[in-house]
Amino acid sequence: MIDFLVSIQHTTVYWVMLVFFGFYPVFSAIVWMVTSAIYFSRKERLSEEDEADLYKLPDPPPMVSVLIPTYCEEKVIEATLEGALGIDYPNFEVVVVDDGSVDETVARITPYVESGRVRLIRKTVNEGKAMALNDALLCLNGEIVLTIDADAVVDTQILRYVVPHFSSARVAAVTGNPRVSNRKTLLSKIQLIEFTSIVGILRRAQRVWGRIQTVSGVVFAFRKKAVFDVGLFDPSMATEDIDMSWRLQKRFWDIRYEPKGLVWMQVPETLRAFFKQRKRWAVGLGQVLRKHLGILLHRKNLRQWPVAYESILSLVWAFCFVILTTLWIVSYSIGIPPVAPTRSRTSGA
Amino acid sequence: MMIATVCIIQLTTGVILDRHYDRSTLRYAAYTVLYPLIYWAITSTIAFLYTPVGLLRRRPQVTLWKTERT
Repeated sequence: MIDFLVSIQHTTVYWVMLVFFGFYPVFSAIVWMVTSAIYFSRKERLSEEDEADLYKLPDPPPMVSVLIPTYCEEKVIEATLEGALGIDYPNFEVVVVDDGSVDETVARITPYVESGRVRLIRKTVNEGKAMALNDALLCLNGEIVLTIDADAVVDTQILRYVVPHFSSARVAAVTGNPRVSNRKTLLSKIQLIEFTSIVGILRRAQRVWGRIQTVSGVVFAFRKKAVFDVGLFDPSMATEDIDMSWRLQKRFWDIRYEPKGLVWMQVPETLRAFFKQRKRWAVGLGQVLRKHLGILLHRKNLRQWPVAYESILSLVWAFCFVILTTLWIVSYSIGIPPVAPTRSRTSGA
Repeated sequence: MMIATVCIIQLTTGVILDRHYDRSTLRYAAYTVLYPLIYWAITSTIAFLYTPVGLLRRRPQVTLWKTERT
């Protein structure tokens, strides 16, 4: 057993894994930081004139439908509706599509419907978020749709920052900047940092490379025509947002990131809820890679390659992390410390 | 150790880039030190266990989920 463990640590595979494990995060972090800084200096440090130009609304401002899919959201839906109704924009509607909630969600929405400020599309069968979005699409008045999760309280200026991007005919979707509103537990504080420093940096970097990995399901606006063009949201995918992003970009639609499109969302506070959410994301990424990895064979999808490789390499890194750590723990626990790089190199020489 | 250091540098960069939109983030920057250690372990384990499920298993007809709210 001991011999076996030591011999593993002298194999080439082990060394390749170790080197990759050590250098990939450093290399990718540097690439991300540099490219996101490029984005920042190009797009976020503008003179007042340029900024006014960038965020100039078309005249007349296009109709926008704010679409909120809900399933058992009685605790949060009212705050979300108040937020959506408070948006500062001349031409928009708020529509809720309820995916067969079995709690008081519909009762909470009813007063808003009765006062005529919100429209409700009420499904009686729970068929998942993707299907709910598809069903709602046909009932919307706006060609531009901003979809937000039921726990997402939008910034009042969100449409003024997001809508101007659609003046470019190639833009299919714009994803906003989700901020974490619940900060009580350690887990939510770490996620706050994650959304700021991992998601935010990656989005900026990916915009510089050309294609983004995914819109945030919690807040993104899309052009209805583009979603019809790629055949609507796919209900079989665990993460309909990643899948939609890849399909749109495969068809050469453009997806933008707008850091000023702020929403305040809630993240899981318990390990159990966190685990459940990330499990779904992991399954979803696996499904997306399986479904779309063919793009690596087509040169015309060249601009999508960086995010594809980045997804694969991150996955490989996670595998290295788990395998190496397990090996080290086992190795330590039976009394032999892992072979130190310098020592083994001299012994190997 | 180098990985953790670079990670913290990146996390801090993120906080700085986003400070215009959410000043309060700066207050939580101290928690970044926990990120590389605990968080990587959890998220890597999840990726290790469940991405293959998505890669290899046939997709169900529909995927349903319910988010818990506190």
